Amino acid sequence: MAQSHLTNGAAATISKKRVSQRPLESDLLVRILFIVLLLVFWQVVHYWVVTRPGDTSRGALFPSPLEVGQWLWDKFGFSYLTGNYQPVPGEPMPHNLGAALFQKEYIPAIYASIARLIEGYLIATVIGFPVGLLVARSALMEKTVGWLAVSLQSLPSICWIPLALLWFGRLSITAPILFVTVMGSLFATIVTVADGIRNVPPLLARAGRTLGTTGTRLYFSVLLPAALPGIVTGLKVGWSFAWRSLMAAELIVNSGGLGFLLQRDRENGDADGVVATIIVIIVIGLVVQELLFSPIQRRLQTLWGLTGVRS
Amino acid sequence: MQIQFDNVRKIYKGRSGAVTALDGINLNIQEGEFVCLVGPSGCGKSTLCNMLAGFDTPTTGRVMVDDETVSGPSIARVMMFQEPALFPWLNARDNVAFGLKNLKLPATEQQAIAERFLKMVHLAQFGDAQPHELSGGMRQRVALARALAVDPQVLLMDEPFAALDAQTRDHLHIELENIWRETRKTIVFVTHNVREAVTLGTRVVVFTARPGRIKREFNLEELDYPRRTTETLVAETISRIQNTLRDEVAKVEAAEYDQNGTEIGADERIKPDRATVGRAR
Ligand SMILES: Nc1ncnc2c1ncn2[C@@H]1O[C@H](COP(=O)(O)OP(=O)(O)OP(=O)(O)O)[C@@H](O)[C@H]1O
Ligand SMILES: [Mg+2]
Repeated sequence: MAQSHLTNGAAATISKKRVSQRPLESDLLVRILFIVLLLVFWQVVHYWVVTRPGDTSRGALFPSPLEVGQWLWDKFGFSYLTGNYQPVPGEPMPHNLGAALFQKEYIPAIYASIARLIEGYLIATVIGFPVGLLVARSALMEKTVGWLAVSLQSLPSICWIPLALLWFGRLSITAPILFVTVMGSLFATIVTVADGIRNVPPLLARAGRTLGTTGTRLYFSVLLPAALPGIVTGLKVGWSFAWRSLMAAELIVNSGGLGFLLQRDRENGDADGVVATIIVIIVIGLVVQELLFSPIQRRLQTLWGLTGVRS
Repeated sequence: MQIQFDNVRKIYKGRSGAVTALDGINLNIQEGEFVCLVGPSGCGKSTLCNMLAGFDTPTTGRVMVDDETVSGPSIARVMMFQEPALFPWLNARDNVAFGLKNLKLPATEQQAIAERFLKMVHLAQFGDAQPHELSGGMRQRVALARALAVDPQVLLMDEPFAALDAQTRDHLHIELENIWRETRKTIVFVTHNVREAVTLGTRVVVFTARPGRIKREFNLEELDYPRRTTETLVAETISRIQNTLRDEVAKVEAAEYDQNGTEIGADERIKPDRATVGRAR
């Protein structure tokens, strides 16, 4: 119709842009609506729970969204803005918002967790990525190390904690946590990166070889770039495994961080805090996904013309 | 330059037993020839191509180029496949330039050559396009430019146009014919389509059903280009070759039915060669 004068190629490009832009906006809208509905549903259930006759402590165990919101507001230190700031016992009244944020528990806990996460994830990636490449390229590595990685990957990372405490418990408080994070992420990284390389269409390798590309050059100019979508997936999977393992370790090893907050609030019977911390953990996961991995994957998607990015 | 298949036999040992794909192949190809290979499905045409490209080795016999036995892939023998196999992370121009890196040319010269070959396949304005932004026929043209850019001694084409629609294919025939007449590149071209073979080739080699042997060769050097299928001589040649091929195709088809004339499993019908293997077991 209106596009009929365009060449095929141009028309295809235009329609592709439309397809990829529209969902982004409507996705967000749908998601916000969904969250609002979820909060309403949560409030209704809360109301139902607290108005039931019987044990009145149920209200404390099933906080309302507002109570959780209040907890987050306080424990992040935002109450400094509303003038009802309560300094942490034994500490002075902060002079500005920044100091307030850092005095309350969430910001330092997030900082501690993220620092450990980055450390553990980097170690796991620096080891796992090259090992994954080797596993994909050598039959011997595949049968030995690759097999071991698949086997160890099936071990829930929390199972490493006793050993981590025995080995590294005396070294420092964070060493066992780091160990668990690395172990939880390393094998997943090896397995997924190796899969990414293995899934490269053999035809692309042949196209490279017939044009005279061999050996390491074939590896770096054909196999590696061709495996890029799979490799990004591998790095993403490694990250999410590291995050989970870290939270598991922090729950058990008493050392600050978000996992520790969860455990402490449970001991104090603060359901508000437990729910609030869970939300913080989820949001951090989402933010890293949206700020780090999604842009890379979207870029690959437009460059390669992939219909869907493997996740 | 001369290509020589010297008593080549290829046996594949698969899970369902050994399959003789090619047997007793003696074939000489001279520089500048445009040789088309036709034969029933599964007769070993791709196998022959792969051996010449260096992806595969004969079980017995030798494949030689200029008295040297082919021992691996080489930039002197570039193969094109049924799919374009373009590198999706490179734009059309960089795809065409890909093989030039192996020739150790200066970067500016690589770009100039890539441009020239893009122009040759009439895609000069599409140098910046990513492969997925091109149509199937355009992609196959980029693949052709990529193969020709490195100036190989031989261009191997394994059913390069089979996945394209008839119109695009006709268009590409003309383009390939022009390129061949300009460059006089040695081309080995595999196809199922006898009309395609007769319009393009200086020689058509017909294979028997598996095990593939050379059944007959047709020398078409006498036919002038461009060849129209409406010309009597061309039409006659097509039907002669089709008749030669018909018996072989019939053999393959016979293998798809058992003696009672009832069909065997549908998935076996798709790959006739497997049907024979299945019966032999
Ligand atoms: N890697 C392999 N392993 C085992 N058998 C193979 C292999 N490659 C090919 N074959 C067998 O060798 C025979 C010839 O295969 P080939 O692909 O060369 O046939 P073709 O003539 O190209 O067929 P088509 O026209 O369908 O492409 C077939 O029977 C096939 O099953
Ligand atoms: Mg074939």
